[in-house]
Amino acid sequence: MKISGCCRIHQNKVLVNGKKYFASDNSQHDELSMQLYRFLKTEYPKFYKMDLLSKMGFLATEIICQTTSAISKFADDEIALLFANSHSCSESDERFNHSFKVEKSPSPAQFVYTLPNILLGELAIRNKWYGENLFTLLPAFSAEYFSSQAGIFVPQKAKALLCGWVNLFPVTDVFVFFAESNSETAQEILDSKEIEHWYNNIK
Amino acid sequence: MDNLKEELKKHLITQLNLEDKTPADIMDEAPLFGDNGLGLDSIDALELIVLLDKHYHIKLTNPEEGKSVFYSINTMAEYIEKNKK
Repeated sequence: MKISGCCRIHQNKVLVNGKKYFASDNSQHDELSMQLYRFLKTEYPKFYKMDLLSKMGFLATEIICQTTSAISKFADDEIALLFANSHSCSESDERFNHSFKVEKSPSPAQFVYTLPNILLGELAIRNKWYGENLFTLLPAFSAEYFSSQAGIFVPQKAKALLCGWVNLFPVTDVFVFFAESNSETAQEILDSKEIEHWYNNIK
Repeated sequence: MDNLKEELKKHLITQLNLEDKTPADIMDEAPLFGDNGLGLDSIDALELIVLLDKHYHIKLTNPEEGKSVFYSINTMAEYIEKNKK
């Protein structure tokens, strides 16, 4: 498999395929996500309703879709989504907990984001992707994880993978990449060293 | 009634995170749900029930009522006027 495009968001910087794409004057998640949303000129009202985890995954995926032409050649059920992070949706959990315990008014809109895989639902709805998806909690970013999981998804129905690491704490640490199959038949490997290279390329 | 409608629009924008809207964008008679109106969804409907309780102390206990009560700003305002405590 080859990586056709990647988006790295680290603190207040956004890199696409290793090149500077956008820099915010603010590394706070809220402000960064709104500045980036406006920069992309995307019109998607549902964005405002998302939690921060979904917003960051959504924005990185929008960038991949805008900059990686290869993604459009795959059918809507040929792209599998493989995402992970280490903090789950703790930010939304705390917000919902606050609405429940302090405000005494639990918010249904916040409740729906108290599962991290809602992010994958948002991506599927936005892009009409109906392939397999998996969201995993890991202690830390692991290129080997994405490499090994790719070997499970791709020999089956998926011909391409959108992989993502979306962590908000202690700093914004997002890495989304699109990997596609090189061959119709051969068992293929997604090289963990290539994944590691793009993840660490944050300068 | 006009003040109530204006207040409702502000609550809607805050409670439903309609950050791209201003009260002027929301027509009194326009449907809140569906593609021809604000495009609210089923989760928003639950938030509207919370909004009625939180700001007007009105509990909507009959789900069948929701469709007519939450049709537009006009219908919400009429329902609040009739049921406020």
